[in-house]
Amino acid sequence: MSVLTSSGIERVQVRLPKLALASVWNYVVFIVVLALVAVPLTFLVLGSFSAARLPSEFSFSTLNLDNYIKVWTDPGTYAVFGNTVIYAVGSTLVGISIAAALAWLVERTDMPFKIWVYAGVPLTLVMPGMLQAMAWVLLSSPRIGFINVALMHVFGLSKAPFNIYSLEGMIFIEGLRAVPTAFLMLVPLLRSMDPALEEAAATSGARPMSSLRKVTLGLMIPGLLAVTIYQFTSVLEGFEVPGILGLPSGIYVFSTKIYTVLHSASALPAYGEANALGMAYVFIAVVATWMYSRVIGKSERYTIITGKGYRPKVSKLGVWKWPAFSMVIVYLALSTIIPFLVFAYVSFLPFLQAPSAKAFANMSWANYDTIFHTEQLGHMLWNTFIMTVCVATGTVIISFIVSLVVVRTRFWGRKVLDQVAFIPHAIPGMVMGLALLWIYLQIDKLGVGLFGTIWSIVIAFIIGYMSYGTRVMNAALLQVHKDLEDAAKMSGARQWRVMWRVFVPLLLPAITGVWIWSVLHVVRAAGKPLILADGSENEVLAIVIWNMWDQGYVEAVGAMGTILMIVMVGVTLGLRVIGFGRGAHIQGAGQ
Amino acid sequence: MNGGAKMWRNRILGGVVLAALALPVFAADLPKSTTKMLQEMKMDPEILSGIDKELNVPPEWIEAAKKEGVVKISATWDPGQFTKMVAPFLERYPFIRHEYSRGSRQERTMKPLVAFQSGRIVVDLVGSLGASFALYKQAGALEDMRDLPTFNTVPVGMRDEDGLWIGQRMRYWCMSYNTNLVKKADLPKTWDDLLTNPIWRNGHLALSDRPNLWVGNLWVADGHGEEWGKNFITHLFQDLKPQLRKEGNNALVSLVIAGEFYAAIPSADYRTKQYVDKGAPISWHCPEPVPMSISEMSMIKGNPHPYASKLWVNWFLSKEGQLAQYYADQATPVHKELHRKEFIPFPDEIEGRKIAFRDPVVLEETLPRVFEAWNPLWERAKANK
Repeated sequence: MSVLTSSGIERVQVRLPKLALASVWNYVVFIVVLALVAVPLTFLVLGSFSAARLPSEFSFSTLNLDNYIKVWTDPGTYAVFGNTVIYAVGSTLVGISIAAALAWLVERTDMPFKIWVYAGVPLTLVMPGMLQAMAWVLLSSPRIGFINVALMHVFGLSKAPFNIYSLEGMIFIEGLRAVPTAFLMLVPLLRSMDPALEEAAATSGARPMSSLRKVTLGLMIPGLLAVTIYQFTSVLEGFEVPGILGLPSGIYVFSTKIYTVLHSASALPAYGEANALGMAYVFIAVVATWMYSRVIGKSERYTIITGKGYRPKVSKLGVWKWPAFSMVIVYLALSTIIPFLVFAYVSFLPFLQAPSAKAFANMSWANYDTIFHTEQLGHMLWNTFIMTVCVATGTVIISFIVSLVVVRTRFWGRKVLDQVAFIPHAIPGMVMGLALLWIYLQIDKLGVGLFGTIWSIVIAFIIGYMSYGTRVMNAALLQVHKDLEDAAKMSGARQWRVMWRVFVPLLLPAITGVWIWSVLHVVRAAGKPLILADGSENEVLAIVIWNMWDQGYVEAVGAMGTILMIVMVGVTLGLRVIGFGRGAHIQGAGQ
Repeated sequence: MNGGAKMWRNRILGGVVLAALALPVFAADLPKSTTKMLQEMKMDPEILSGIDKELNVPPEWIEAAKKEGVVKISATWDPGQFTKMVAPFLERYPFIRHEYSRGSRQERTMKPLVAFQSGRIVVDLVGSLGASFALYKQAGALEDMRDLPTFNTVPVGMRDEDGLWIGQRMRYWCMSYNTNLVKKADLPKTWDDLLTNPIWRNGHLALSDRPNLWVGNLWVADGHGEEWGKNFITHLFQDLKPQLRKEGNNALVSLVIAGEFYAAIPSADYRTKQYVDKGAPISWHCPEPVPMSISEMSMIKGNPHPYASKLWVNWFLSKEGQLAQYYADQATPVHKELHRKEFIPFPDEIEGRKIAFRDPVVLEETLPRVFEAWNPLWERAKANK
C-alpha cells in the first residue's frame, strides 16, 4: 500500500502476505533438506571416480574408473557382498522372529507381567551393540570364553561348542539388537487390529494356532513386511557388531571393509576405493528402501483399523503362560542382563580371567579409579554430552519442521521433501560419514574449519536420524486435528504461538520418543565417529571404548561400559516418566 | 686441639652442614610430584642432578608458550599413565594444558599425516611413528628439534641426526608367555629354536602384523642377514602355523594372560611387566639376539603450539621426564645417564645377551625388503585359515 510522507512523497510499503512468507519458509526447508542429503550423495559418487590421493586434492580432471576396476576385480569384494547379504538377512529374520513373538505375547495373550515386558523390551536399547558384542566375546570366544571354558571342563569337550567369531555369531548378536525397535514397530500393528476376523475364524471352529497362522499373520503380512524391510536396512548399516566379531577373524561386511580400507596403519587411506565400495553398499540399501516404500504405498489394501470401536482379542495361553514368560526372560538375559553382569564382573578385575574364587578375591575398584582420575575423561565426556544433546535436539527440531511442511501445508514439493528426508535411512552410516568427510575437507579449503570438530559428527548424525524422526512426527502430526490449530489462529494466536502452545504439548510424547531414541542410538554408534574423528578435539565415548578394546584394556572397558549402561538406564527411565507423563497429563486435560 | 686442627674441623663441619643443607634445598626445588615419585621409586634425588641445566631454555620460549597455553599429543601411553607421567611438567609449567589422545596405530600414525597433507594440523607431537616415519619425512611434515637443550642427552643412533625424530624410550620386543601353560624349559634360547619346539605349533603362538619391530632387527643382526631372515619367516608361517591377530600388541598381552594362546610375538617388556606386577600369570622371554628398538617422538612442522611443544619435549627428554615415564609405565629411559639395570623391566632376559639394535638409518633401507618377504606370507596364511 502507498503512504504519503510529510514531505508529500509517496512511499510504497510492501508487506508480504502471510501466504508468501509461508511459501518462502517451505522453500527454505525444502532446499536445506535437499542440500543436506544431495550434497553428500554427490560427493560420494564423485569420490568413487576420483583418483586423487586425498579428498582435499579432488578435481574433475582426475576422474576415472580405476577405483571400480580395482574393487570389482578383487574376488574379496564378492565375498564381502555375500557376507553382507547373509548377515543382514539372517539378523533381520532372527530379530523379527523374536520381536513378533514378544509383541504377540504382550498384545494378544494373557501372559503375566505384560506391562513390565512392554516397558522392559525397549529398555534393552540402552545396551550398545559394541558392548553387547564385546560381552559375548568374553563369554563365547572359542578358547577363553567363560561359557566355553566351563562347558569344556564340565563335559570334557576337546573343542569349544561356541565360536562367536563367526557369521553365525554376528547374526545372533545383531538379531538380538534388532529386537527392541522391531518390537516397538510391531506392537501398534497388533494393538490396532480389529479382532472381528479372528473371532469369525474361531466361530467357524478354527483352532487358535490355525487362526494365528491363517488369519492374524495373513493380515499382518504387509505391516510385518514393512517392518522387516526397515529392519533389514537398519541392520545393513551396522558396524559395531561386525567390527568386534568379524574383523578379528577376517569376516568382512561392507561397513567393516570400508573401515579397513580407510584405516591402514602402513599406507595412506584409499578414499576413492572406499567410495567405490560405498556405492555397492548404497545400492543394496536403496533397493531395500525402494521395496519398503512400495509396501507402505500398497498397505491401504490391508486396512485393519476400522472406524468401529473394539477391544483386541486376548488369547489364553493356559499351561504355556509361564513358559512364554520364561522365553521373555531368556531374551532379556541374553540381550542385556548377562552382558551387563559380564562387564560388571570384568570391571573389578586386575586382568582378564575366568570367574573363580581367586578372581573374586582379587577384585578392586582400581579400574574405576583409573578412569575417574584420567585427565582426558572430562574432555571426552563433555564432547559426548554435547554431541548427544545437540543430535537429539537437532533431530527433533528438523524432523518437526519437515513434518509440519509435509503434513500441514499444501506445498507442491511436500511429497518429494518427505521422500528426501527418508533417503538417509538408505545410506549406511559409515558411507554417510565417508561422504561428509569429502565435503568437510572441501569446506576446509574455504577456511571453515568444520572437520575435526564435534559439529562435524553432530551434523552427520542429524542427517541420518532425520529419516526416523520424520516418520514419527508425520504420524504424530496426523493425529492432531486441524480444528485445534484453526481455533487457535482464529483466536488471534500467531503461528509460532500455535506451534508452542498447541502442537508441542500435544506432540510431547512423540518429541520425547524421538529425543530418547536419538540419545540411545547416538551414544552407542561408533561407525560415523570413527570416520570423522580427528584427534582429541572430537573424540567421543564410543571411539574411546573402541580403541580401548582394540588395545586390550578389557578391564577398563568393563568399567566404562558398566557406568554407561547404568547412566543410560537412568536417563531413559527419567525421560520416559517426564515426557510421557506430561504428554498424558496434557492430553487428559484437553479431553 | 691446636688452632690448625680446629680450623680443619670447622671447615669439615661447615662442609658437612652445607652439604646437608644443600640436599634438602635441591630436593625442595623439585616439584612435589617429582619428590613423591623419587620416594616411591626409592631413589636418591641426586639422580636428578643437572636437571636445572637441562631445563634451562630461552626465556622467550616460556613467554611464547604462555601465550599458546596448550600442547596436543598423540602417543601410546594409556591415559592414566600419561596423567601420572606429566604431573611434574604441570607443576613446572602450569600455564600449559595438555590435550592427549591415545588412538589406534592408524589414528596415531596416519591421521596426522593425512591432515597435514590436506593443509591441517591436528596434533603437535606424535609418538611411535615407526615405519610411517618415511612417509612423514617425504611429506616434509616434521620439525627439526636439534635446538632443544636435551636433544644431546639421547645417544647417537637413538635420534635422527636431522632432528626429525628423537627416541622417547628403549623397547625390547620379544615374547610374552602364559606361565600356567609354558614351562621355562620350553622357552627358546635362540630364534631358530623357536621353530623346532612343537609346543609353539598349531595356533599356540600368536603373531601381530608388525615385523618392523623384531624381524627387521634380526634381519640386520650379526650372524643373520637377509637370507636368514627370509628362511626364518617362511618356516615361522609354514611350520608353526601361528594365530594371525589384528589386535594391537598390547591387546595380545591381555590375551596371553587369558590363555587365548601360549605366547605372543612381538610383546614389549614394559607392558608385560605391568601385568606381572598385578599378579597375572604372564612373563617375558627373549631368544637371542634380543631385538631392541627406540620409540620415536616427532614434532609436526608448522604446528600452532611450537613453543609449548618444545618445552614439553625438552622436559620429557630430561632426567625428570624420563624417570617420570618409567614411573608411569616402566619404559626404559633413553637418557644417556639413565641406562641402568634398575630401569630394565626384565634385566635377566637382557643382560649378557646379544642385542639386535635397530639402527634407524639401516632399518629405513631394510624395512621395505622385510615387508616384501613378510606380507605375502601373512596374506597366504590368512587365506589358508
